[in-house]
Formats: sequence, structure tokens, C-alpha cells
Amino acid sequence: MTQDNYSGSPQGRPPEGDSRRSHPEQSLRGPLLLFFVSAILWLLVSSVLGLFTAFDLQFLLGVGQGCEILTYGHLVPAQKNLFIYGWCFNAFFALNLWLLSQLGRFEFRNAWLATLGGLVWNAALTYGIVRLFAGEMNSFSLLEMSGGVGLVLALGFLLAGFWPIVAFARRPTENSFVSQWFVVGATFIFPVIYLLTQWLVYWMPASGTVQALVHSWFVQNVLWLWLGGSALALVYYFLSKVLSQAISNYPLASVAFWTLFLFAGWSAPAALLGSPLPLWVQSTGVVGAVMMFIPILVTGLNFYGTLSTAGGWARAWNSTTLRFIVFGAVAFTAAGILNVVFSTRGLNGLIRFTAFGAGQELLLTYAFVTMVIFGATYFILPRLTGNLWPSAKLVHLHFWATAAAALGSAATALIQGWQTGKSLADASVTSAQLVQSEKDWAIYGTIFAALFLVGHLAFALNAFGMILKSKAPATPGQFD
Amino acid sequence: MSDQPSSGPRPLIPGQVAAWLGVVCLVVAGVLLIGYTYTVVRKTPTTDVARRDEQKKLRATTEAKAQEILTVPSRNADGTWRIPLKDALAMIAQDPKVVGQIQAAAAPTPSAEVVVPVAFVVADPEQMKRGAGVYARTCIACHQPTGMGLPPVFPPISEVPIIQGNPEYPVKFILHGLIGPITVKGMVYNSMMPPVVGVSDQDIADVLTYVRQSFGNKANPVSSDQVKAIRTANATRTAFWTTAELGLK
Repeated sequence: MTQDNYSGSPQGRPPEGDSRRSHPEQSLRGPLLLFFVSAILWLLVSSVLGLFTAFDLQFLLGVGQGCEILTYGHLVPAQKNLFIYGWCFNAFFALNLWLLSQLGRFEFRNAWLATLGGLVWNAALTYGIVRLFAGEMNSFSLLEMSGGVGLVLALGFLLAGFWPIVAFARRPTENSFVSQWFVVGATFIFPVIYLLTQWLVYWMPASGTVQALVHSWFVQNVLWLWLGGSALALVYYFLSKVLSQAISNYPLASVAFWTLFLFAGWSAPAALLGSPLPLWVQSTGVVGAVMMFIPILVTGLNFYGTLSTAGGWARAWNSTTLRFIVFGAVAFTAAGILNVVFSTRGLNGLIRFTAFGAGQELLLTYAFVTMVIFGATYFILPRLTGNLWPSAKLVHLHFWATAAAALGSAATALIQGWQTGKSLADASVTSAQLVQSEKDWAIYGTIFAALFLVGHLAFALNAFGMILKSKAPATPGQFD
Repeated sequence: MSDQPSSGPRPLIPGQVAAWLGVVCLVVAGVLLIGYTYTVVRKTPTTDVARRDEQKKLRATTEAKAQEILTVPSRNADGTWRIPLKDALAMIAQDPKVVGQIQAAAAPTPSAEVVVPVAFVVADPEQMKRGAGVYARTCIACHQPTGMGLPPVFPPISEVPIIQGNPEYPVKFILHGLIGPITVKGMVYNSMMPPVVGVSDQDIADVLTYVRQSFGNKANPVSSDQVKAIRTANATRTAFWTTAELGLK
């Protein structure tokens, strides 16, 4: 844990010493490789579907015509579910387990259970997506997969994703690090909200608007706590690890943790402003959403304070891992501030029912979460496989393609949403003009979807080149 | 390492798995507790269950009717027969001119203009413009850009007597919402219109004026004073209106 690590020089080629493995990593190799391989495969599938979706929008059913499964209504939920449940979840199964094993010196003796969980999770996801393409889907976003899939996914999560908590509970030290709190909190929160939402939305539906409220609560919690919390843990860890520096204003980090977990759920009704929910519920949501400014502020103090000491920004830019992770940290701050500002009634009324929300979500799930996952993967995969990243050029291509696409598509969606909102409020703009302007924007969607695919292909080529070359594990502790 | 393998007999459940089981039990117990508490505290009222069943039945009947129109020849009110929609579409696909022939044959003889009892006043174009804006922000999602609504859930507001008659009713619906059955153009809609929050008297007057002079409606403009009077008269009201209370059908 104390060894210096220079993962990812500017050329993306870490020095030889980086392929050292510690005892904990040795025991994690099997399940972690399974999680990484499935995550990357799902990412590729989801980016191909994303490209089809963009085509559908640009040529208005040009692709979907005569082929039902390629229509917009099938592609969008499939793409979104694969991106979240396929890519992000598998990646965090691996990253959370790795992180807490490292921090808690955890030697995983029953790794086959996590592997089994990974198989269950991915099998259930595959089955759910196939059913989704067959037209068997529900109408709640991120809960489209119908039938018993939800229950099997929950089981898969408990088997695959719950080991970080065990690693935390059995840590040999008394003290704990902020990354551990975030991972434990995120891991606890997901199965609870997932099962409760399945219960109140599908199994024994709550009546009326409560269903929508529960669903919104679920989405906010998944995005901000499970994905966001897990990714924040990685940002904290790698900032101090790669820069070999303590987190500035560290005592404040506990405030960030508690306020994030307290207010993320309460901000749910803010996504439903203007709906038939009772007004006091909507107002509570606005309060919760505005209070989210506290964790945004504190994480900002932690991250940018650390980066601003001892030339941190320059060093971060020159490390592959930190370049991705700092990109993500900045995106988190941006997404958080946008979320606070646009939860207020006046502004929310302007951007409601437009692409603006999609832009905010993209900023959070891609520019923040996914970029952080990429950065962490650049650090961890070499240690797991004992190999170096095969091509530095591909690393550069990956960073620039995904960074440009993430920034570009988020900016496009935000600007487009803002303009649509203004036109909607303007009586002199007809529906036909609105449709035309949406069509004019669609070309950017296609360009950025293609750019995403290019970046992800570069990443996958590099990763699979490394994984396929990796040999059976060397004797444990060989590099210690 | 804290958990070096000990020399004693192996436990039935390894320590790590036991810890895992403990955490899983905690989560499952938490979920069951919260879920059960919610279900007990907030039982679904029987009226809700009945309404849900009714909606399911309505959906099934509509589906059956749609299938029938598609596939079964049926009888018109005047005793003539019409062919199933599917066959009609096939016929049109074969020869698009057939539509023109049918329309020419069925064209009604022009009748006298609809008599408008009160002197009809054309609304101020500025007010119409403002009204269209309010409509696009608040009404369009349910009543649609065409004013045709989305049967069987959202009723149309195009050429409907309630809309073209006394503006008191639509103003009341907008201010306090409407719940329960209402008959529009011979069809019973049993759903709910939520009260529209955050619109001024002027907004309501504008949007009603716009609606009353669009979508084929022809009725006089509404002024903000009229709206204000209705709002003050019902200032303390919080409940939804029902058609029974208003003496409508």
C-alpha cells in the first residue's frame, strides 16, 4: 500500500513496477476480471445501441422502419439499462471490492461466491434485455425490465456487490478512510431502495402519485448515492494515493458524506415539480435539492484544495488515472451546481420536459461516474493482469474521444433544452417549428454517439489486449 | 493478516461468508420492515381497488372494440354494413382513389350555419397569443395540440358544450380540479384533472379565450374580472369539483 505508484505516465505507459500485486489483489483476480470483462462488453453494446438511437432521432425512424426492435422505444431503454446495470454496476462491483480490499487488507477466501454473483447478475440482465427487445417492458425509467428479473438482479447484487462491506467489517485497523464510508453507504443503499421500489411500484403498487414519487426517489438514489457515492470514493482514494498527499480539509469530508446521503433521497420530488403531487411534497424536494449544495461544496473544497497544493493540477494532468478522475471530479461539481440551480421553481418550469434533464443526467453518469471508472481501471487492470497497457496512442484516443463526446453531448443537450424551454413558453413558435429545431440538433447527437463508440473501442482494444495476454497468477506476494 | 487459517477444525460456515450472511439478513430485514410498515399503515382504499379494476375492464373493452372494428364487419346506425378496417385499408392501399369516390358519395348537403345566440365577439389577437402560450405550457400534455384529448382518459375540448357555454365551469375546473365521471361527446371519462397551480386570473382568462375560439369552438372571450369573481367566491375551497356538485353530466 505504501509503494510509490506512477500509474500512467503522460504516454499512458506505466513503468514496470506497476504490475506489482499485493496479497489482497491475488485473491480477487477471478471475480474482478469477470466484472471488468462483462462491464467493457456491455459498454460496447450500449454505445452501439446509442449510435442507433441517434440515427433514429436524426433520420426520424430511418433505421427503425420495418424493423421493430430498432425503433426508438426499444433502443432507448435497452441502451440506458445496459449502460447503468451492465457497465456501471459491473465496474463498481470490481472497483468497490478492490478498493475496500486494499484499504482493509482483505484476503477474499470465497471468491467463487462473488463470481457466482457476477454470473447471476449478467444472466439476469441479458434475459431482461432480451425480453425488453421482445416488447415486454414496464414504463418506469431504469426499472423497465419486467417479470422476476428485478428479484434475480437483487440476488445477484447481494452475491456480487456485498463483499466490500465484509471487507470493511473485518478490517484489521480501528480507523477508517472517507472512501470506505462512501463505498459502504452506497453498497447498503442500493439493495434497499431497489427492493423497496420493486415492492411499491410493481409487486404491491402504491396508489396514485406515490408510485411516481417512489420511482423518482429510486432514480435519485441510484444516480447520486450508488453511482455517485462509489465514484466519489474512488476520487478521494486516487487523489491522495497518486499525488501522495493528504486530502485538504479532510475533517469536512464526513459532512459531505452525511449530507449527501441525507439529502439525495429528499431531493427526489424536485424532479416532479409541476406534477399532481401535493405542493408541500414538491417544496420539500426543492429544499432537499438545494441542501445538496453542501456536499457539492465540501467535496469541492476537498478535491480542489488537494489539487491546488504542490502542483497537483499539473501532476494530475500527467497521470492517466488522475487525468480521467479529475475530469470526473470537475464534472461532479458542475452537475451538482446545475442540479441545485435548476431545482428552483422558476428555472425548473423553463427546462421541464426538455432535453435539459438528459444533459444533467449525462453529466452525472458519464462525465463524472464513467470517467472516474475509466481512470480507476487504468490503475487497477495492470496490477490484476501483470501486464502493461499495450498502446499509449489508444489511451490518448480514448481520453480525447470520450472527453470531447462527454462535454459536447452534455453541452448540446443543455443548450438545446434551454432553447426548447424558451420556445415552448413563447406562443409565437409553432409545434412544427419546434420539431424542426429538434431535428436540427439531432446531427450533433449522431456525431457524439460515434465519438463515444470510437473512444470505447480504443479502451476495449487496450483492455482486452492486456487481459488476454495475462497469464495465470504468479506466486502470491511475488512482487511484494 | 487477522484471519490466518487456524489449526483448529474448520467451521461449517467460513467467517467471511458468515459476515456476508449477517449483512444480507440485515438488509433483507430492513426492506421487509419498511415495506411491511408502509403496506400496513397505508392500506389501499377499496375505492381505489375498485377504480383500478374498472380501468382494467375499460381498457379490455376498448381493446376488444378496437379489434372488432379492425376485423369484424359491423352495422351502421342506419342499417347499412361497413367492412372491417383492415379490409378497408387494404382496399385503399390497392387504389387510393377509392377514398375520393366514397367521400364524394357521402358528402352531406350543405346545411344552414350554426346559429350563435349571443352576438359573437372575436377575441383580441394579443389575448389569443397569450392564451396559446398558456395552453402550450399547461394544457397541451393532456388535451393535446389538437384539443382532441386522449380518450378514454383525457376528454376532448374541441366543440364541447361545457367549454362553449358558461365559462364558470372551465374556470372552476382550472382553479380546483375535477374528479370523477364526466360525459363528453357521449363518452364517460372517469379520471381526474388536477388543479392548475400558479396561473393568474389573466392567464386563465387568456387560455379560456384561446380555447373558446380555437379547435372549432366559437364562444365569446373571457375577461380576468369574470375569473376573479369565481376565484373570490370559492376562495376557501380546497376540494376538487365533481360533476354531481355542479349539476353537469
